Amino acid sequence: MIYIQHVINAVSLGGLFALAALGLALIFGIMRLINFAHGELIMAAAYGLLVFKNFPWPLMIILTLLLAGGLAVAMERLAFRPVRGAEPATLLMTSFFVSSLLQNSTIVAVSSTPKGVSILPGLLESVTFGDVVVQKLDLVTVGVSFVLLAGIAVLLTKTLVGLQMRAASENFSMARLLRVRANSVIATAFVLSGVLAGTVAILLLARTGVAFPSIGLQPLLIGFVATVLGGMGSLRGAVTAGYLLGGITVALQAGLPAGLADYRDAFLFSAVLGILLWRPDGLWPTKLTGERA
Amino acid sequence: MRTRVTRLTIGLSTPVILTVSVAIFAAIGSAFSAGFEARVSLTLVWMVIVIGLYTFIGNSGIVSFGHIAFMAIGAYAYGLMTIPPMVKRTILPELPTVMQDLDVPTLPATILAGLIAAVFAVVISPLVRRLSGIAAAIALFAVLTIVNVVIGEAEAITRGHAVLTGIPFSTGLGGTLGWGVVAICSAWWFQNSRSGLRLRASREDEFAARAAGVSIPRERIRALIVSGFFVGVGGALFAGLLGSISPTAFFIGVTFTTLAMLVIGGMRSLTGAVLGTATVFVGTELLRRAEKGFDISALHVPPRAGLQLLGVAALGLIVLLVRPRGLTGGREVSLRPGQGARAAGALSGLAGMLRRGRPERRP
Repeated sequence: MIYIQHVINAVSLGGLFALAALGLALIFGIMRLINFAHGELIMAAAYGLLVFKNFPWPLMIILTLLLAGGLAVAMERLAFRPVRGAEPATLLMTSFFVSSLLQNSTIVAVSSTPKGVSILPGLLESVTFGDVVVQKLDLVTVGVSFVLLAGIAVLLTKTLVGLQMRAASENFSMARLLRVRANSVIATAFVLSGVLAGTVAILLLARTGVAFPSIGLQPLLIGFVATVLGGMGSLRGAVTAGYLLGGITVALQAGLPAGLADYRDAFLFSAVLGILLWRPDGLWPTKLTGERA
Repeated sequence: MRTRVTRLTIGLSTPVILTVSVAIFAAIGSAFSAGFEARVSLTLVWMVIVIGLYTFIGNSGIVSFGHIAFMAIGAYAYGLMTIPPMVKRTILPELPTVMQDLDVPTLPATILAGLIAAVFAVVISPLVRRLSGIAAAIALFAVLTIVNVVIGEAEAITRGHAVLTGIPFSTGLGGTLGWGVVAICSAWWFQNSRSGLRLRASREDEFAARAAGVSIPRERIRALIVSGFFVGVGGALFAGLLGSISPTAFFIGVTFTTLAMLVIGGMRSLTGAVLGTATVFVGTELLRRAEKGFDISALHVPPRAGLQLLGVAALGLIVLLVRPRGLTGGREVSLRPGQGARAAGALSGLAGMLRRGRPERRP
């Protein structure tokens, strides 16, 4: 029955990774911007939870998501809009600087020592189905990520703004010629990515219980790798790659001999680099990833 | 009409001006307190690393988030070669005997550390052969993570997450200045070599360069090797300056600082690499006082850690928003006639660069 537990762990971890990856992929698709500062959205939400933890849980979640979404929009307005359309390297560096600016602001304003916080403690209890013991949090993570991913899929395929977003990521100038408003489409993408980052923060903090300035780095790194692995700009690819990475991580965790288990991340990223050498455009390449003269 | 000699003078004026400026900087460094001298030495170490970064990023146009892996490898290689065997036996009892007995003098150890980093560059070169642009940047970031995890866990060799101490304090102002000059001249030589020019052509227009018969993978790999060597040497100098190293010293923080230096100066010119390092040095010197805390009449400003990095990030962001190609706008200082010749040439060259450096933006 150990296998069922591994599968649940993999789907739960994969869901978290997929949420992180989708937040990055949404922005990349439209703006060609790899958003380093996505990690700081997660961080801001985590620190927000320190403040909101005493509210009733629905209010706590809503406030956290609002905070992350609001910060994402502010970030776009203040830092990314002025460099919109610049070279990819400039965009990349801008987001890198925004990320460091926010992280060091937190260190200056709050301090770099980790802060313990217990949110939703009930989720750490386990439930038993026959021989299988599962943490409630894993089930919640699986459910929340499924619902959120499905919700975004519906938004993108069934609503006008979703259609506009897909059009903008296909061909931004053409979409604008057809009266798609660039600002509102980009703002919507940032709100969505903020909400995703906030969700990641809540699920992460419920599990680990500590907030610190670089809390966003690990999910960010995984999100990056998943976006590249999925084929840059492909939302479906990013989500699938997120689940794939979750699966590989759990498999390595379970399969590696004791001496090598500490090297898990090294093996994980080596596997990813191996796949990229074999398929440089990612596993599910889009038209965007191909070369354009 | 220009003679061959004047053309040569103009051609070599950039490395000469940069060398002279760096020498003046080092002279200023030696004139004040020992603490200041150490910080100037550290800045020169950063400069060697940033020039190494520039050799790859500036010439190929690929932003790399993984180069600090070379620094880490250089630093640990240097540490393992220079820590006296007696000390090594105590702090690293599980180290293979061959490595325990190693006792290499400073200069050969520094060069070897650079070469080991260059070999690692060869190992990871398939990545830049196969990947471009952002995918390459992220893949190199994954390389940095792998190196970081391995160094952190290989306790028998590196002491893992604990600090590796006992490295002789062998890096001084003179040595760092020497390596700084070597790095400037080598980077200048590389960017004007056949290989460097081909690579720069591919940076401007990948398709045109390929059509003209440039093998982009080959040139990228050459640049990566040269670049890996200097970042590795920088790591060795860093280890020799601080005397102790740990894996956390070679991760995202340093990646950020060095890239910020390069971007602030302008990532497409050697002058940018040097000027950016100097600018960040001046900025952090100013913020050092603020970070310790100070009093303005009745107002007490408490000490704040993280203020220096915050300043660097803010400076970098402003530069990117106002001058996306950095302070130099991708130009080099030189004694080119018409920019105010001869004696005042260097200064006015720089001034002219700043005036006209604003590049055209893509629509």
